[in-house]
Amino acid sequence: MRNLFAILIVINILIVGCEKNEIEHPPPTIQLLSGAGFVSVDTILKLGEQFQVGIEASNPNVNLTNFIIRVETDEMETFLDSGMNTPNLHYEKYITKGISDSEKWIFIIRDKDGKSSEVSINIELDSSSDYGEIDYFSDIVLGAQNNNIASFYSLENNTYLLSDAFQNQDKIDFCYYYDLIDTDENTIASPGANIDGSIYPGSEGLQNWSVRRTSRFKLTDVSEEDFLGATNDSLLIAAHGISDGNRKAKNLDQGKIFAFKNEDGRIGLFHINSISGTNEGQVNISVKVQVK
Amino acid sequence: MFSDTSLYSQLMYLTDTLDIPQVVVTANRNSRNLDDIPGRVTVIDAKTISEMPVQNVDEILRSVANIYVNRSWGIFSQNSSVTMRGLDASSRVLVLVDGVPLNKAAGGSVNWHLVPKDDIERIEVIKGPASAIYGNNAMGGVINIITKKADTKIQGEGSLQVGSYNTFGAYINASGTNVKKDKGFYWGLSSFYRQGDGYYLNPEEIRDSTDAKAFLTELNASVNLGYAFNKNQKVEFSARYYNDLRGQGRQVYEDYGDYVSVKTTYLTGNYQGVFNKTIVNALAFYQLENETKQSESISSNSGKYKLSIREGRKDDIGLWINATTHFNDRNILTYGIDIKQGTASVETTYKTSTDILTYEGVLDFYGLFVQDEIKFLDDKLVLVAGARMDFSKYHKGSLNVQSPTTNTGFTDSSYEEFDENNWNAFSPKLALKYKLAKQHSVYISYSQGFMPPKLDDLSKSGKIRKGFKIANPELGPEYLTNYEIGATLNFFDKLTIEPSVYYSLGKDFQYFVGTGDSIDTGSDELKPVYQRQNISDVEIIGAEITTLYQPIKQLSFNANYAFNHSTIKEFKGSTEEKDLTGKYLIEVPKHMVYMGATWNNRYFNTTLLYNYISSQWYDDENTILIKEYHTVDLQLSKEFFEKLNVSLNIQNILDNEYIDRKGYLSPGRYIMAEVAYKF
Repeated sequence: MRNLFAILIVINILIVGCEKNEIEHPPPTIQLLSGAGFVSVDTILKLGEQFQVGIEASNPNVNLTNFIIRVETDEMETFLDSGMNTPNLHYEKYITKGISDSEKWIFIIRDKDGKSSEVSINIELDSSSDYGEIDYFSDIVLGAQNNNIASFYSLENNTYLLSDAFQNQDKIDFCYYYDLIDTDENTIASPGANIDGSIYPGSEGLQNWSVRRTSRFKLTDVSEEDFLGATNDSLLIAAHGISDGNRKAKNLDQGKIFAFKNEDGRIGLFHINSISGTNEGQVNISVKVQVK
Repeated sequence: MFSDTSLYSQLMYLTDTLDIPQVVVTANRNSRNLDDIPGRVTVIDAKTISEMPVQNVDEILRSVANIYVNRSWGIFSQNSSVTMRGLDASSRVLVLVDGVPLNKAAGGSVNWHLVPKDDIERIEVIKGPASAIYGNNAMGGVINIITKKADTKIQGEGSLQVGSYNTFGAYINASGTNVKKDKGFYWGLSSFYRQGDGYYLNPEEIRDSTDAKAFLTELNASVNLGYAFNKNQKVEFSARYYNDLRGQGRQVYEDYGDYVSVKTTYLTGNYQGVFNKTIVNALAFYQLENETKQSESISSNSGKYKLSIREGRKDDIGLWINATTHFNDRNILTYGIDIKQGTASVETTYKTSTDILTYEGVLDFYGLFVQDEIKFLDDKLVLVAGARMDFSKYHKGSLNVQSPTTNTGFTDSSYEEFDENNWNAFSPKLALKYKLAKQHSVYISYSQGFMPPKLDDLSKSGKIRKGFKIANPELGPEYLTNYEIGATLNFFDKLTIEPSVYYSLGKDFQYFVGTGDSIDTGSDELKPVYQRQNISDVEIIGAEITTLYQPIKQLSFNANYAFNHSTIKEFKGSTEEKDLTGKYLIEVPKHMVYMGATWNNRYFNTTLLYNYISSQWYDDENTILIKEYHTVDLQLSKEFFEKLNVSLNIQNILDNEYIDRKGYLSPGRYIMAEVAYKF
């Protein structure tokens, strides 16, 4: 009995001392989709022209954990840096040709072991490109959630009260509110953003919308003078850059200019002419956007 | 039996002292009579430990006045925080196992799971600063865990446990000695295994699909071997290994989800010898800890998924040599030299982005100390005077940032080597004890303690809960000066009352302060940048009282109360910082009450414990209060044939749920049944 105890303990200690060996796996595979509608080889496109890329990546041994899209122009910019945990990735994206003469789009897939593979395509700017026309909508007034003025806006230049917006969900690009919960304060967001249910409560509130379009916003350093002077979409495209922004434009202040891209891919700028109040306040903006 | 006290016992025999009262080995780093120590010392013996309804070693310390044990997830806690005397942070308490330090230089903390509770012979607790003899970390006090040694040719014990949350555990040990005529080998083996499904940390109403149970799997094994050359000399070697895997309550995609796994290897060698009137004790130790922490999360707002793995290696190696010379019955000099080196190398790899962060650093410690104990007035007056000088060097510190993104907040890849940082610490002690009568005594003491900066603060940069932390390679130690007076009063050998009051002043305490910068870490708002700096002076006014009452042999009561008023006396942060002057130290309960009763009768043995922890502040600005809580624990046990023991342990019998500082639930009532067999 006593010796049995000692033997058991020794066996236990020996088991403890044994470590399993790590197994080496090959890196993940990645390829560009080449079916109809996809760009999978080096291509020349006009400014503002949309193209679609598709990616298939997999690793049967180690899950994929990171998908990165980088765009190399004069400098390197990260277009997407996304986490995941899956053996397979299928990705499709419509991209708008930017203002650079040459863009190298690099698609990188990394697995949990840190091994990576990548593919790339070069997109050249067609030298015959012309800048596109833009719409200019000035002095658009939107009210915050407790204001009687309409809070919702579509780039067809229409404003909507909540009840009207509920009936036109597929048109709404922006909504304006004052955030009392976080520190976002005055905010223009897309309906597709994560907006607290208390801001637009009720049966017609955003939580109950079946279609929530997503626009993305980026704060720019464009001057008011340049904004007012823009007569085509060159400034809009340059200010927007390559990567998309966030679903909310927060902490709005008079004079700030945000770039945006709506769900249809229309790029634009909006300027804060004035802003006042909190959840009963209002904002006055001017918008320049690519024509539909 | 060959124990830690044997050599000293022999010496005492030589000096015509045959009546040896309770002996402790921690106060002077060699065996001393408890009665001769001018300070507050508590000893918990094996019998008391076996009667306590506890699952881990640290929980035993709840019975000691003025020790705050924070193990909010019970057995499922990643670790325990044990603090003392109105100080927060477990790195301000030095923890020893058989005299060998456990605190790691990297973070100052201790792996409380390294020693199973059934391996313990007794625990000695020295209250108040003891840096005059121990140096680093011995700021709030010292806890020395003394492990069991064999006293027969072969002996052993095995036990099985079954508990709440589908918990299962098993413990076995075997040990023996063939020491004859003061010569021979002695040995010991032990192993402990435990697993449990765990529980949800979040209340049901806020759980989402990523909530998972905080599970547990742990394995512990140890070997020790000793050889006695003669009655005056022996060597001992021991090896401990610990490996665990603990869920942290969240799982998105990965096996085990968020988890922490710690593998600790702990090797010691010890030589003890008696030369004429001098006892020499040499300790060599090496502790290696490999920690893996996996974190995964998915944002409920953006749906963004993050996965990272942190792998850290922390080494602590040292040699402590001390000697005690008994010049005569009334003058005992203890002196020694300590050398220790701690290293840390920690790499965090973000699997869902390209970031890799690596930080490294080395801390060297050298300490010289001397302490003299002199008795006067027919041994009624004991004076202890000592001082220690510590020299420390931080070097080879570096931070390597590879391919950063907003996940870590760094803007560019970089490699930075930090400058060396040296500091000294002088720790004096002066204490006086007067024995009023055989049963009563009073003491007064002045002592200083210090805590060195941690490698984690010297070298590590990265995101923290409230913002972004940057390394401070210039961080220095913090100091505590303690003035204390206390008494021990014993009435009829049945009632002992031990009151103490103390006043402590802390200098250069390490606090996070904002640098005024902010950084983009991928969230919607910029995060403030913080750095640990020696920025505040603190004041602690405290008192404690312990009462032991044993009216009959089978019945005993133990009650204690501790009060601490721990505040920041002066905050020297920048004007941009919130002034914390006058704020309370975080995680320090103002009031703590412990009451225990043990009743052994012919049918079964019963221990009932009550613990009260008052509210405590969560944050430096004192805006969030962690609520007070009470727990009642019970053990019922019965021994059969002096070999078989059956026990039922119920922790938190009233199922009093309380919330920890992170907002997580305690496990509530925890029931464990155990069957143990001794041979």
